[in-house]
Amino acid sequence: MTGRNKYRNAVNNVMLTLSGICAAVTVSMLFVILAYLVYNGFSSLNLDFFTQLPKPTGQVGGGMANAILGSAQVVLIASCFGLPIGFFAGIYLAEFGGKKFCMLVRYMADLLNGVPSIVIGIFAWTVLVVPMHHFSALAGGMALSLMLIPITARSTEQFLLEVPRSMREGALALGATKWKTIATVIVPAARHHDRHDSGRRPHLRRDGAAAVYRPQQRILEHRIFLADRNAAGDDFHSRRCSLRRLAQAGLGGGTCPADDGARR
Amino acid sequence: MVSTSETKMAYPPETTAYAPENKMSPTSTEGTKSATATAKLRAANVNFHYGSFHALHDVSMEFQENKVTALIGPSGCGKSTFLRNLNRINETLRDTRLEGEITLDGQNIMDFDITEVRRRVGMVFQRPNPFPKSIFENIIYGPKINGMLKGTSAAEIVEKSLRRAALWEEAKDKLHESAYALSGGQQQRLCIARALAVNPEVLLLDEPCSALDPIATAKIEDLLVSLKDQCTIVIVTHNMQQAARVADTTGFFLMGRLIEHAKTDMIFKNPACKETEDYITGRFG
Repeated sequence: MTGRNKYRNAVNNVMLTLSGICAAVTVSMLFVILAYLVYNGFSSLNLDFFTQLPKPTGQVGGGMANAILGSAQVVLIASCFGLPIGFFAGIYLAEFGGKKFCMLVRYMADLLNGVPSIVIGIFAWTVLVVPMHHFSALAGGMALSLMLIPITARSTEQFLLEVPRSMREGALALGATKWKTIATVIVPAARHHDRHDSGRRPHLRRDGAAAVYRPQQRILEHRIFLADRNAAGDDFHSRRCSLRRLAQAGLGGGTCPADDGARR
Repeated sequence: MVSTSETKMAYPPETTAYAPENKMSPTSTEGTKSATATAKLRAANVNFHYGSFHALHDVSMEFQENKVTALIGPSGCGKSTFLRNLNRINETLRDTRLEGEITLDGQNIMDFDITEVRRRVGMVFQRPNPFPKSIFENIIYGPKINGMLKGTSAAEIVEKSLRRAALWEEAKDKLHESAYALSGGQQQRLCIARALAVNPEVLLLDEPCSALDPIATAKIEDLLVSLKDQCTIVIVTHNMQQAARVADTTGFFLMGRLIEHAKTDMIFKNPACKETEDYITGRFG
């Protein structure tokens, strides 16, 4: 082995080791926290934890039944309203919309995505809680659904755009209408693509989970200011993808996300 | 819509050459029933634009029933664009414009419902594009959406289509497995079978063998020859030997223009235009 090759292999090994150590440190923090929680909390996990109401401060016992049930109600209501609206809006953006209107919808969705949770909370308070004279799962669910809509819309759009143009054309060329193509080929293909591709491209899996999980996480964990510390849409692949496409366009790479684009 | 015809287009064309300096004078036709009796599909003075890019210039061409027509030419010459206009699949692209007239059985394809045109004029693409479904579901997709299952057994349609595409023997034991389990050549034949399942009158193939090995290519070529009794075939190909092997007539495109359309023998042995001869002999392209 020449001196040059020895040097290159040494650098390779050092960098691999360094990155491995950093990865281990990152994961170990999570494991330490989890281990601490399990060590101290496991003994408190029993049937009462899931079925009883909390006891007043200072008293031993009780459970979190109200929080568990309330969370389920809020998530269910939010999903009933937010997911279908976001999903169909995403389909519109990816498949039907004109350039200018879509750009406006995307901009608005990203803007809504970046609105601090507290603002959406105040909106729900004003529109639902005050007229109803009490807090309710409905008010929480509607606030959460407002957060779900832009995220679901942009994620759905991104998933659908990942489906190759050739797949769309394959269905259209058989005499399918556009809606039939979307419902019977594009959406199933996007799901298939996610299942088979997310192993290679984990951001897709994360993005799908994010659509439902992240806004819920903010409310369920009462971390409503969490979003405010992030740049608008910073969490989401869809935003990065828009930037990627702009960058590609600037570099002359074109903006069409499909595999084969327009044939000439 | 431009409605013109060129008198030298009658089949079998000895040769139809593009001559910019000596353009044949167009004669007006009445309505859209202007095609000759034997032409299944006919394009007259077709111009196509991608935004401001003029991709096709006054292309006029006839496709005879139960014949194979090959479209050849260098990359970017407009042959795929022309093919994609024949079943209006180019309408899925934004910011495009078609001028001229394309008729199917003498009737302007713009007068048909778009789904009807695409059912009657099937298409197979460059890369195999099976749906993420089973082989069975892929084949039955077209008949199902077109309401063709009434009175016919789905299994019958699947078997018939796979047999027509010479894939039955290889696929009969795994009909309910994913289409992605097939090899590239088998997937392309599955796409042909899928297109055949809706009984198209015309089958358009856009470089169907470009991603396949020679054995799979040979199978598809045999298939095309056997299929021409059942439908009219138009194939875009970069492979001139393939055009010579399977096509009855061949059209040569260059820079968005149809330079020459004639019997395949004529094109390869005695082309009328110098550009065709240069291309055939490998002097450019």
